Amino acid sequence: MEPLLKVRQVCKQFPGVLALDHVDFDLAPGEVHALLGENGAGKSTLVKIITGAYRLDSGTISIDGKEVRFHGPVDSREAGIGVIYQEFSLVNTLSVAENIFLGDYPMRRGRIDWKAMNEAAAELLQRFAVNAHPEDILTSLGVATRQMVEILKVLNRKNLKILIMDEPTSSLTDTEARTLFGFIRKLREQGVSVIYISHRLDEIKQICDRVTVFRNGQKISTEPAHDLSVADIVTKMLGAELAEHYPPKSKATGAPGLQVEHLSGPGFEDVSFVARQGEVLGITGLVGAGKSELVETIFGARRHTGGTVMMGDVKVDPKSPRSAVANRIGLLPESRKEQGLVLGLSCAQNITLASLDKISRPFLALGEEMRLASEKFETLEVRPGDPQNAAVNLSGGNQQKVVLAKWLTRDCRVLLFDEPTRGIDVGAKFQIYAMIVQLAEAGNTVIVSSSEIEEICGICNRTLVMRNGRIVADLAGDELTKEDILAAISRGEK
Amino acid sequence: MSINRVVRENRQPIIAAVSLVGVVVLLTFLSEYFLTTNNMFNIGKQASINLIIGLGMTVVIISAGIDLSVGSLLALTISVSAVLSVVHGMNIVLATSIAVVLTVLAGVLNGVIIQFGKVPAFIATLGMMGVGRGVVLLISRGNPSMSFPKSFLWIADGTILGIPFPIFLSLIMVALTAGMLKYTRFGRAVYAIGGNEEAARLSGINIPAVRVATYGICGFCCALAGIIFAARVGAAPPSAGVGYELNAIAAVIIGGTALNGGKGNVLGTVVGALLMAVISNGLNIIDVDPYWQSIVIGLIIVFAVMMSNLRSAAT
Repeated sequence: MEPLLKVRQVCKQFPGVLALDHVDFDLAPGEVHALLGENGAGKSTLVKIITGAYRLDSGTISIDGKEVRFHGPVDSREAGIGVIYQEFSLVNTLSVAENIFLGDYPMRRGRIDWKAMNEAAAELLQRFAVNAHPEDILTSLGVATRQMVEILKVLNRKNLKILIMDEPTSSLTDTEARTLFGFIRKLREQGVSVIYISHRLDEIKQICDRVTVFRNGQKISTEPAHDLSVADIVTKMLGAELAEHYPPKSKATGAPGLQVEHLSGPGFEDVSFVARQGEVLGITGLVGAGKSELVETIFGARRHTGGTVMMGDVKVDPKSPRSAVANRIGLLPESRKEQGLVLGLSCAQNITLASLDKISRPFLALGEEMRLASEKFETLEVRPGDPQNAAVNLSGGNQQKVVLAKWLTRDCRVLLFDEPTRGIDVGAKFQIYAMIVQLAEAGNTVIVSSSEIEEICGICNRTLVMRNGRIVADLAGDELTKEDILAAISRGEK
Repeated sequence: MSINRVVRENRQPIIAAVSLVGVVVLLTFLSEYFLTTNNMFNIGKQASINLIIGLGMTVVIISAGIDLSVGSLLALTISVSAVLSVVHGMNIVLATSIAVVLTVLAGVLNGVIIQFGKVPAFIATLGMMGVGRGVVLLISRGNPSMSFPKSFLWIADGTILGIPFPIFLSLIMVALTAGMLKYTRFGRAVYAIGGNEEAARLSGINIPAVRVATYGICGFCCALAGIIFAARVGAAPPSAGVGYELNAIAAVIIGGTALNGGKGNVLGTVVGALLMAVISNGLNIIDVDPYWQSIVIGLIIVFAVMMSNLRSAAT
């Protein structure tokens, strides 16, 4: 069968890197095709070239056998290509229906036909089982629901031939993801082709027909998904075999490192637990269970309404991030771009941001700053390896390493990780897991909040399960399994 | 750091610097008077007021703020010291010191209102612009005839090591501000807050203190500029400094400091302020209608930013 989209010998050069090196790529009509690779392997660049956001240096792109030249995203849109990005392209102050029909409002006698628009939106929302009303303003909805709206917005276009999805499930719950997969299958039946980018390898097997793996700007292989095991894919992505998905667990246990007593705040209520030095303590539950709210409150980033937090014998009431940092508590926040990094500053400047007192004598010792940063860059294998690079130029996994480096530089005794591996590639994931365990074994208190249950089982010694803002289970040892966690999450859900 | 990166990350100040050199070369050909020590000092003196305000503005803009009240704050320093010394016969040094302190406090008040009153910087300082000007008119009763003592005028006309004092003072302020931004915790915090306030907060930066301080520093710069202004004019016109906020913002922007914060440097502002001063001086020398000056400066601002943005968008 003639491919719907044919990419031939495409090259793209950026200052210092050949982002795409003579890449060929075919997309058949009605297939779901996964693009895999570590951050910086070239998948995003290829997508941006297909959508016209970047211009190619050499090579050709054809759709339906005709060569096309896109000068911008508008051209690719005309050609029937739709994209769902990780970062949303929604107008938060408008309603759900207005967003879905943005730029293409149904008109009647020269005016917007609100009734038709809202009805069409309601129909779409219902078909996709999205829990929102067409007239809801986006700011009143959660992140997951907004993502659904983003998807609906693209799906609503009538000439859609190719849909590109970049990490569409990264902020969805399992149930929402399953709904999404169902819809993708429906699209496929209608002849729409999907290019699917995800770091969740288990999803790929569920939903994709073929898999193309990239590494260092080159295409490594294209194969049917059912012929590949997750281990095969990882091997191709990394160019070497990764023995385990998770490092050995921490074996150290020590005195209580952080005691939370009857802590309450917006999003959670009356939470008590003790985290010990040397152990990795998980906090899991569905999106919206109150995990992020809890860790952010412990760090002082949100107001608490009651309860206390102790570090050993010392009361460290969460007043502000400033006092947390002074007590050597660190937080790797959920969203690294909005909360973790000052993207315009260099990596070195980000790394010392929480430890400026260390390099202040009283003027900033910039040489010492570089030394500290280079040291962390080496430990964490950050790429590209120049700490003077602006943080914005790094891939997601490497950015997360820079945030981690910031807290390593602070010598934190308590480390709170909130969704530490969201949207980062397998290689970087493993390194971050290894660091988490290593930090615990060095006698620190480590808390990992994550909605990826597998990750919790893989690295934690013990986990708390949250539901509707309360802790509903405390699992360790033999009970720390996917099944037990799922049971705890759903228990009482009648 | 590689030269390539320096060029890439400082495109706009480099464009401004190249334009500055170009304009200087052009004017040297057009007028033999232009490139004389005397005229260079003139340009320096002219630029000094805008430059010193621009330094404070640079700090504020890097922190993702803006200060529209600088012209009024400058006038506040002038009028307070004039009223105290001329009308009440106070010692000029004491009078000026009180005026400086009051102006810094007005700047601090800007910061407090923005930080704790949650008023956007644009609005808060717009309010201060009006209030400050009103106070000036009120205390001076709209009287421009108060004149400063002869000895005070040294500030504008005197020299140190052969350099006119306003230029000397500007150089010191440039060095201090640049050093502060690059080599102090405070300076680093200013960049961090402007680049991503939430990330800065979650890194334990004391946001309120830093923010209030940036506006206080801006107020201090206005006070110094006010003293130079008063000494140059020798009087205290209540309309002093009207429109200066736009000149200062222009110098900062031409120099490549990002209006949305997190990025920029003092050297760019120096180039920006000099470029503006050279152009207005040059147009004067070659006998162009002074009304053209404002048009040319306006075009340069737009052109400088356009050049830089067009080139960075072409990936």
